[in-house]
Amino acid sequence: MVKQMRKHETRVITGNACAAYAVRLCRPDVVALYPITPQSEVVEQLTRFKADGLLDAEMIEVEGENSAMNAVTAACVAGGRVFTATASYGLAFMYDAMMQTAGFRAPVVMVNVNREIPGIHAVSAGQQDLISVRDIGWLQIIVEDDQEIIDAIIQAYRLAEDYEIQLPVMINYDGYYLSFSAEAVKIPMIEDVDEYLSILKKQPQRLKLEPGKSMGAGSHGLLQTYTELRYKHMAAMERAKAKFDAIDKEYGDFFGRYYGGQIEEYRTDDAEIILVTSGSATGTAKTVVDAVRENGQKVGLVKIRMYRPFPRERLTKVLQGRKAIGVLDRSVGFGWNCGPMYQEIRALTPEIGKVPLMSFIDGLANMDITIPNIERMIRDIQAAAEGKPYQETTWVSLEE
Amino acid sequence: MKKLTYPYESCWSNADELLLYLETGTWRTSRPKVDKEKCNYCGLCALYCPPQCMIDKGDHFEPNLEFCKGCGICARECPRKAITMVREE
Amino acid sequence: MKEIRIHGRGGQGAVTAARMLASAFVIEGKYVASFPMYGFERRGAPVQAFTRVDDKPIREKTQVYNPDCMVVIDPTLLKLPTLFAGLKPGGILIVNSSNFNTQADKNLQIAGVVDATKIAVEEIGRDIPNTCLLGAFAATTQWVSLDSIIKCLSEYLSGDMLQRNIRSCERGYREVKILRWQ
Repeated sequence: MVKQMRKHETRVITGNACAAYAVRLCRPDVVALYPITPQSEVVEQLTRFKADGLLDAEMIEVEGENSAMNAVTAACVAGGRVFTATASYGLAFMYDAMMQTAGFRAPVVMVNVNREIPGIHAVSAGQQDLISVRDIGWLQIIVEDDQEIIDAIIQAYRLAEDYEIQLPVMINYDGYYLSFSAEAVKIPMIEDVDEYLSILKKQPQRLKLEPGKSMGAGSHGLLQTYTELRYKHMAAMERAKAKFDAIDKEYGDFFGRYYGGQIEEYRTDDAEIILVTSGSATGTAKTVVDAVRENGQKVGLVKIRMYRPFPRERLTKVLQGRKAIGVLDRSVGFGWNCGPMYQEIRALTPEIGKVPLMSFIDGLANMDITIPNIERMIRDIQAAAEGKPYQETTWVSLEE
Repeated sequence: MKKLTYPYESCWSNADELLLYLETGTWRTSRPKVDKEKCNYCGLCALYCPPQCMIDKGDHFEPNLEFCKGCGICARECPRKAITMVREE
Repeated sequence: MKEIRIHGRGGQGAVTAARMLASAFVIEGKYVASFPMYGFERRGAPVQAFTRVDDKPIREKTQVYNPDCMVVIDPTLLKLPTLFAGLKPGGILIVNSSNFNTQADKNLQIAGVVDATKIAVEEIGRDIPNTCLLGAFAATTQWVSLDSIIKCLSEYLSGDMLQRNIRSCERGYREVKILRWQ
């Protein structure tokens, strides 16, 4: 593949605007939207594109997120490319509809701007919303910065609609820290995105509702049928791992930006200790890793980019042979008294061996994950690597 | 050791302590002015006031200017049109 | 890297000012990151906005705790005891005020003082002082040119409003009074 420098448009826009710009480039057929802080600008910008004639989609102004998901799922099952966006309470409101989408194997692409879930009212960043839906069969990707929002959304359509996958994809980015954060980003040209996504047209076409064809979508399933469909769904999720790695490489060759696929391995080659992160805190953590490395400490960072399916094989490979590992969660794992990503990495112990494994919970409800906080996490992981006693779960902002 | 300072086990809050707590009066761009003569002490303004900051003065009501955010609902709801919103300087 | 913290109240354009500043720096080839932190998203409530600028990509996604420069859009905020928290030694302040003249913090070395409300009301017709303060920022810090700020305004405004804000910005640049302390 010839590496070409594709033309891009540079703009200084917020994360939410990035999402809208990326969706426009993918030419969706149907978009159903309902606003919710911190995602409202996505709705506003897409609506503005439509009004300015820059987006040729049918816009459905729904009265709530449950309708939004139902509407786009139906349009998707009828063969359309679709989009919706939500957060927190909105995600909760579309819960049953989302399960439907996954069960239908409908390749819906949705942006979820991470905000704390209902229960303790918070209009603030937190990953609990994406964690609360980890077991309903959606693919989940978590991004680190505004540029990645654009690139991940384009990759999401490529992944969701791939004939071998056909699963809904949720793109997650932190509310406030990314949704309202403005950076200079490179926006691809729409003709180039057309070309990049054109590979989907060359694949076998998925089943869809069509006049004249008596197919039913969402059929009742019992016993053996149900079991077989669940099996097929899980197999597709497994295929999504290698597929996502390949898609990211392909995207890198095409547009010049590559993110490592399911995970990013940052300065891990000779690392003795590793901090695992996701989302916007990754950027801050990389700054600290670089500073700590200047002092000779061998620390590396692993960023979880694809959360569902869980990048088990690649994590196992990169986490082997380390002296201690810490996992930063911007959410909690009810039931295990630790962070949820920590809990899942703990399940890799048979393969990576028994090493000090630590859970750090920080950044809930707009608690800033500061540079001193990350420095503290790395100090604690290093202490554990040196054999000192450590606690399994550290609530960073509550510790003295 | 964890520093746990919130007094309750779940997200309860004591309205006596916290209802009028943050000095939201500084957020205001206009304030309600009550005409004592027109006021008939019906109490509707106090009922409607979102942060409950209308003070009972015995024969009329007045806003608590430390907290009043100037939303204007009292002026809108007063059946006697006894309240007008005036711009802050 | 330079870190700028902008203080205002909802409705005064603090968030937009942070983004305009980011755009201006980008025009000059810098890397930027800019984001707001609201307690309550409404008119009148205190809001902070942060802009970071550097010659290399900025990866930190945290609030600015140690600003090199603070911009205060609403003079009533000067009463807050914690306003200057974290200001770096040699810190710069750009303030919308008609009479600010004291070294309000031991780390404050330079202050650009301009009655941006008066200028905004005269040029724009409304008390939206943010573009005026950006002009004062350019003059006081010399970190970005007035030209770049004016160029970026057209990404955010158009027509008559753009022209009015350009005038307000230019006046901020020309009329800012720069005070220095040791």
